[in-house]
Amino acid sequence: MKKRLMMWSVLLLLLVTPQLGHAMHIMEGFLPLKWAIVWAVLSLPFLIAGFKKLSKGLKPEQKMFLGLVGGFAFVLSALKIPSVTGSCSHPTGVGLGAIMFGPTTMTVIGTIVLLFQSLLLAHGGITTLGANVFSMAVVGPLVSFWIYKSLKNKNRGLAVFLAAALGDLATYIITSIQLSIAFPDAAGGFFTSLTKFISIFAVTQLPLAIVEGIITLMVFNLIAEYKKEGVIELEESI
Amino acid sequence: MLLIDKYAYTNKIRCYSPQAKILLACGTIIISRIINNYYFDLLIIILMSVLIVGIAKIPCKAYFKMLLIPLSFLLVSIVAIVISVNDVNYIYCFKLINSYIGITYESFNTGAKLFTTVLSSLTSVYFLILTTPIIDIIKVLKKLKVPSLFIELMVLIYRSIFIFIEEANNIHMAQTMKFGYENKRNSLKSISLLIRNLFLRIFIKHNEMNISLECKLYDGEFKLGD
Repeated sequence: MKKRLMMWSVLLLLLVTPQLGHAMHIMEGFLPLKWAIVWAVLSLPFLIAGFKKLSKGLKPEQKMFLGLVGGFAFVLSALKIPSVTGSCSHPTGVGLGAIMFGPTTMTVIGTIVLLFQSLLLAHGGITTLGANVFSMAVVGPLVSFWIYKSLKNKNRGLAVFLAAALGDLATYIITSIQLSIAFPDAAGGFFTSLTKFISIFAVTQLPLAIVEGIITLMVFNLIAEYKKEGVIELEESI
Repeated sequence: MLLIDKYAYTNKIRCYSPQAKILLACGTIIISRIINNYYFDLLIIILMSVLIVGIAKIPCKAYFKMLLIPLSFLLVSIVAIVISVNDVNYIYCFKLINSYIGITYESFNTGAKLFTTVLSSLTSVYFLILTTPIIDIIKVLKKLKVPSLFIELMVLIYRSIFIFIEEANNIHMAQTMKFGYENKRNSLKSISLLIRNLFLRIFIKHNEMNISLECKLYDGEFKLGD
């Protein structure tokens, strides 16, 4: 009896997880109104800081460049990449963006991209936009950028890989924290609930983070090659 | 290309005022939160589904398929909320190593309530995004005095999304025809080549857009016709 129950629950998990790749966005209506507002207010200062930095001496050409980067990030999130577990998952591209353009720029672009994702793909939601911005466009890029900056002089390849993978993991942990603050376990409270969310999402998110790290590293190397040959010029100022 | 975008432009109530549609969608989300009642949630789910399928004439099959996408996340999260460890008065539980895992009345209630609430807000949002094109939403945002830099970036990103989707599709098709996604190793290589190519396209498109906008005497501000 108990064995059968275990078998069914494992089966259910296997059935549901393949579609979870993109699901680290908290969906519409999932958070209580109070927490939705709290996370929106928390991510607002970062957004304003990003805007301040952007609007200071932003040339029209650079504006266009940012627009193209945003479209690129959106398409990345809509792409299906093959993952280790056999399911399809979606790269966030946040790591690459943070390394290339800096964390605050990614906050502004990430916010707009998340808004488009909820309007065009129904990933994430409008009321939960604040919470998703905090995990994906504030904490993720900050972690990626910080890791890349502190490690790039020792081993550039490792730095890129770790920046992308750990940025992804940071996003997933923050999302778990947001969910467990909103829905603490009836008996064990916040920490029991946190372990539950982290262990359930770890099934897909751990392999995903590694794949994202590998892909970001490959893309970074290809771009670096091009840059060395002088085909493109990255605008460091943005 | 993007299914939701296609329906947003082709549905039957596309010409109705976007303000009214946004107000209706946001209003139902907030009111269902305040009233917090199963039956009210059900009422909203039915009302919105009727509006979407019956009045806006979105195909029924497509609508239900779209509803299924976020449902996987919902189910897994609800499993995490419903199951509780080492609690008292279980409806059903089993023992694992030395702790009890099961479902209690309270957790079951929270999970069920959450399910209906999420479904009702989901249908409201689907009503908004399936009937209102992005351009209309951007116009409303402009009226709400959202900073112009944000609006301009939105317009630019919306445009470039479709440029890149087309290119990504072409590259993906070419790669598939050359067996680029045959095994894991090849797929990883193909996908990074694809991303690299798209990234390079940013620079090429950037140059092209610069030239074309300069021809049109662009002075650093996009005018949205209202």
